[in-house]
Amino acid sequence: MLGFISWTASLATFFILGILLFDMVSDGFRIMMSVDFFTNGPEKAGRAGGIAPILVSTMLVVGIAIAVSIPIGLATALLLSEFTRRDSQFAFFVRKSLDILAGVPSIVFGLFGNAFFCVYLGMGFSILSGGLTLACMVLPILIRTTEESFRAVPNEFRHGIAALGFTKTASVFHLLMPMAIPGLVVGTILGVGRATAETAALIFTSGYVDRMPESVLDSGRTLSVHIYDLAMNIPGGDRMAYATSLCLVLILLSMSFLTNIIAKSVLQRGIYTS
Amino acid sequence: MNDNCTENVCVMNGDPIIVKDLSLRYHNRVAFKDVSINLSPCTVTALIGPSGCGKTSFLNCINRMTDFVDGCQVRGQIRVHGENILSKQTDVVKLRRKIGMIFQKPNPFPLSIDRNISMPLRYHGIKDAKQRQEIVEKSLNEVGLWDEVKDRLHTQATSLSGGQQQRLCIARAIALEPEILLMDEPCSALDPQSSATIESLIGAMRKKFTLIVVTHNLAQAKRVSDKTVIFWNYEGFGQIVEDGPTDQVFFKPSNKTAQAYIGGHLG
Ligand SMILES: Nc1ncnc2c1ncn2[C@@H]1O[C@H](COP(=O)(O)OP(=O)(O)O)[C@@H](O)[C@H]1O
Ligand SMILES: [Mg+2]
Repeated sequence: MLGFISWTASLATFFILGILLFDMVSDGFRIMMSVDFFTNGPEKAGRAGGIAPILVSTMLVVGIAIAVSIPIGLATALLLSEFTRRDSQFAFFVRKSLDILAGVPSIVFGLFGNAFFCVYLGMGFSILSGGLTLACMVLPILIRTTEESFRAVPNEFRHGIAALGFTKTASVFHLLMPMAIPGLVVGTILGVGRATAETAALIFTSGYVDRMPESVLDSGRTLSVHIYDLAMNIPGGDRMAYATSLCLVLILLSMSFLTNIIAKSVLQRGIYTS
Repeated sequence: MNDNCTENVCVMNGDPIIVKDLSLRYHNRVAFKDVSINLSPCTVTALIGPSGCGKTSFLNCINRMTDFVDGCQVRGQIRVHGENILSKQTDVVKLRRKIGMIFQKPNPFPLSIDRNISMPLRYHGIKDAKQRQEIVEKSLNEVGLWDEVKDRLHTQATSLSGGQQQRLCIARAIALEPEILLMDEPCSALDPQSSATIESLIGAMRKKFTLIVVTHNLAQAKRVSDKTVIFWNYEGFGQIVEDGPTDQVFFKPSNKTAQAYIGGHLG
């Protein structure tokens, strides 16, 4: 009985995936391959034309999110794993808060970003607001994965390098950070993936405008917001939505592919061979 | 280049390491208590005794590795060149620069063989790559590893055998020219052959550094050391039951427990 249920469930999953992919690929692929898809802006509210400004906005939003979250994430993770004691109350509190934040739905981050960045800091609907909101959203996960990759470094190396007269800070830069890099890379790519796929947090922050952004203070529409808009608000926009989805899925797939390759090659070779 | 090694002489010149009323506890558990002893400079001192009697803990006090253990409290004094290194003012980084340590389990960094030695050298101010290369070669020569690895200096240190890894760790420590070298059962994780190599290495280093070697191998202590200290677990915590020149400790121990331990009836 249980076997039957799980077989049916697997088959159902497979079919849903198949239908999803079939529609997306059959409709989307032809459009994606047309010359102007990657070079033109959307026309007729997105029913025709391409997605060039949308790709640019996506890259800007994700770029800002990553540029802001990596240094903050790295610094916080280092603080938690290397510069506080294991039994520290402070670290415990920060870790718990991060775990809660990591589980907060993205739309809540969207509302927060709107209230804080757009309204309170006066950035309005802009790529900057969107990027910063995404940074807040990916930070909890980024910090925790980064902290884990530092924790994965065995203590014998910390003791070994301390016994050679290195300061704590020097041991971080000379040994722990290089050793933690595989984990850092994987964490970062996961964060980028999550940011790229985000819709809800961006609707209220970077907005809908589908023109080519002139600066990060312009509103800009990202790929997933574009898909959402085409599918929900634009009658006859579904074929373009499929094409854009295909594009987004391909980006995400190549990211996870990249993660695997990097993780594997780094693990085999070690960071330092010179 | 090889004859550089022989020019090296012990830099401690005359100052013993004076340990006075040293006690150590982990949380509420006393590991050893009221240890007082002078460790002679430029000699090999062997610390022996059954496991759990506080030898590792004692060694960790000398370069303040005890700072890394949560709940570890150290009381008493350890004077190196007259300065109490247990005081709050001690610059532990400088201290560890002068007091090298070899761990029970070899811990080469997951870097290349070359970088294991040259990275610390660079950090400690040797900016000239050529000079670093010379020191790398010299140190590897001293531990008898140069001929084995000279063609693969840029491969991962972790690809070496256990005995080679431990010798690399020794080379890494002596490249920084410490005054004192602490070794915590450096051979216990190794096969007999590597163990013999390291033993003869200790013999070769005896005039250059003040060596303090923990071992549970009595025969080894007898072979390599000038002085011997016996730790014993007594009344629930470690203490010193016998110390003196190795010959005396092994042939005419004054303490009953020490006699039984040396005679092989205890421990
Ligand atoms: N980090 C630690 N925390 C708590 N107890 C410890 C720790 N390290 C050692 N001990 C205890 O202290 C005693 C002495 O240990 P150790 O110094 O390792 O002895 P030895 O090196 O002679 O075998 C042992 O009873 C051991 O269980
Ligand atoms: Mg021990």
